[in-house]
Amino acid sequence: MEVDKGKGEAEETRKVAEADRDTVTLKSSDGKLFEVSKEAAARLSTVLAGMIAGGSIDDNGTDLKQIGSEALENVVDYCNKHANSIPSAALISSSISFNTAPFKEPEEWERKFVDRLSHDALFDLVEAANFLGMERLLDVTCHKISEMMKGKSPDQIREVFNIKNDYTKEELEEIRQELAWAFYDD
Amino acid sequence: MAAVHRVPELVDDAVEEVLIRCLPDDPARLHRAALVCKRWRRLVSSPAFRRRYTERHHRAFHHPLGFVCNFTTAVSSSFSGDDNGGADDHTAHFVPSPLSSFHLPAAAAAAGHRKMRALDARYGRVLLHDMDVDPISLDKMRLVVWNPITGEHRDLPRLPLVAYYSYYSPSCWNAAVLCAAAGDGGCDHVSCHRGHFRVVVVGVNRRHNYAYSCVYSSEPSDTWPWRARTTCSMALHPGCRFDPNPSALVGDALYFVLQTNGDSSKILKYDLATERMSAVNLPPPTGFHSPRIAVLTMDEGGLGLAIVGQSSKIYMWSRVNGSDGGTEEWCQSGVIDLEKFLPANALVFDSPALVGFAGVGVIFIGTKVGNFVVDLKSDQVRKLDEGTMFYSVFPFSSSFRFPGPRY
Repeated sequence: MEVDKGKGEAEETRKVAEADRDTVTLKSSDGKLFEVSKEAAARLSTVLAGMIAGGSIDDNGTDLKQIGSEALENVVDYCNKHANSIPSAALISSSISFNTAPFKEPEEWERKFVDRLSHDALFDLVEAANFLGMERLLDVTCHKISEMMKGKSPDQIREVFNIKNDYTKEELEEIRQELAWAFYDD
Repeated sequence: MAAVHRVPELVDDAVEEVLIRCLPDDPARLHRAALVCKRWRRLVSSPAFRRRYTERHHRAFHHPLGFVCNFTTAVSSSFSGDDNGGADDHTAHFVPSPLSSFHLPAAAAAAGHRKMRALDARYGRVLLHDMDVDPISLDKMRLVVWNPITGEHRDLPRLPLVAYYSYYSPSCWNAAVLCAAAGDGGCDHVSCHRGHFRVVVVGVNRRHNYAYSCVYSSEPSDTWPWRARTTCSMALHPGCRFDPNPSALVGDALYFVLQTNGDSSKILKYDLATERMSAVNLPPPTGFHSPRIAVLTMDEGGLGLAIVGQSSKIYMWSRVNGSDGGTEEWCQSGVIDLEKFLPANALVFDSPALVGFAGVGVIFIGTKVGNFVVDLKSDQVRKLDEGTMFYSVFPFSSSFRFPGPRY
């Protein structure tokens, strides 16, 4: 409820204060607020890095309408853990060049981090990581899911991912015969 | 674990992120994913997904899924090549790579190819020489292209007459199988294994001192399926013989090793565009008596050479443009010390036989105590289960990883 006269000034001080803060506040789709280390957010998420650099971070909570509070909590948790568990120079440099660098196995703490998640939470986290452009978190979560698919038949995969089979019996049989090699251990 | 049933399911973007991270060492996984539902199939068979996947897994992509190995039960475990060794002794066998989780279907893996030897393996196809030759019937002289993934065998038409002289002497000729678009850069070899192919046979007639080449294309044509060509300009050594190691495809040329007992071994170059042959000299003599030589494609795409010395070292050379920018020359690019990788008893009695190179990164070494696969990039060493000594080995990496679009 500021008077018009002071608004510009207030805006100015707010911006300065924001630049000085070492955390940013994120707001989930259901309105919950989370604090996350600015350095880690900028390093791990290309989208947040862009917002921070572009000054579009809102001190009262940057709206992330696509992300629910549970997923955002995990994102923030991951960022903060990451901020604490490094800095190993190797990890920093690898997080920069992930698109070309070969996949690096999840570290012990990252493995634990995804192992404790339910399927739902894991899937939500993949979508959140994808939305925020978090390459390393995508690697870690998707690696976990791809491990879940290992050695599973299409039926079992459907069950895990809650997907309806839209192939006809005949179509499945046809592909199966052609791909006998891919089903040797079913 | 929480209940697995949930709404809504993963959005396309997220599914793509998961599937893009399936390692190519288990190619079945993408195919199973394509069978989950039509949406997933559309996703993994899209050109964008293929492109991204290929880029991401570029290195692992060319890791062999296994090895097609030639072995013989003959007394000498090495390939003497002289000549007309009993066909009964030969078998070509698929051996899974310890660095990959890929396996052939059990039936195909167990069958083996008796009385056959592999001549080449590339982009999912294996070229076999059926050694079970009945001299009375020329029709039984045959080359076969085998697709280990689909199990298909395709007999090639009878070779032209020029090849007959050497047909019974395995050391007088060698051959390669290629994707039909090889050499012109028009194919990324990511899913061409069921498309058209070419087979190139090169040979020497030692008695009359000429070399010949024959090319077969599986593409339908009105002309005779083989095109043959001879050349007398190569000054062949009367005792020369083809090394049974794989040829190398570099740019638009194939390279085969032509061994002699002395220091005059050469590399035979076959130009795919002009269909002409020429000889490439080896680096300066190594001092080793008939060292084992392998040609390979370097990471940067040039021609490479590996020479195994008696001191359990492999000397690597690469072909580079000369310092004056003109003629090409050999440049030593490194030395691999096998002692670092192999158990001590593997190197006691005999220098090891270098029998295979999969790119520069993976080597296959046969010793008296077993066969080893070494991944030089990660320093991983694995011993193969098979105890038999192979005389040559062909890394099998395939191109079948992408499910095709349909439905």
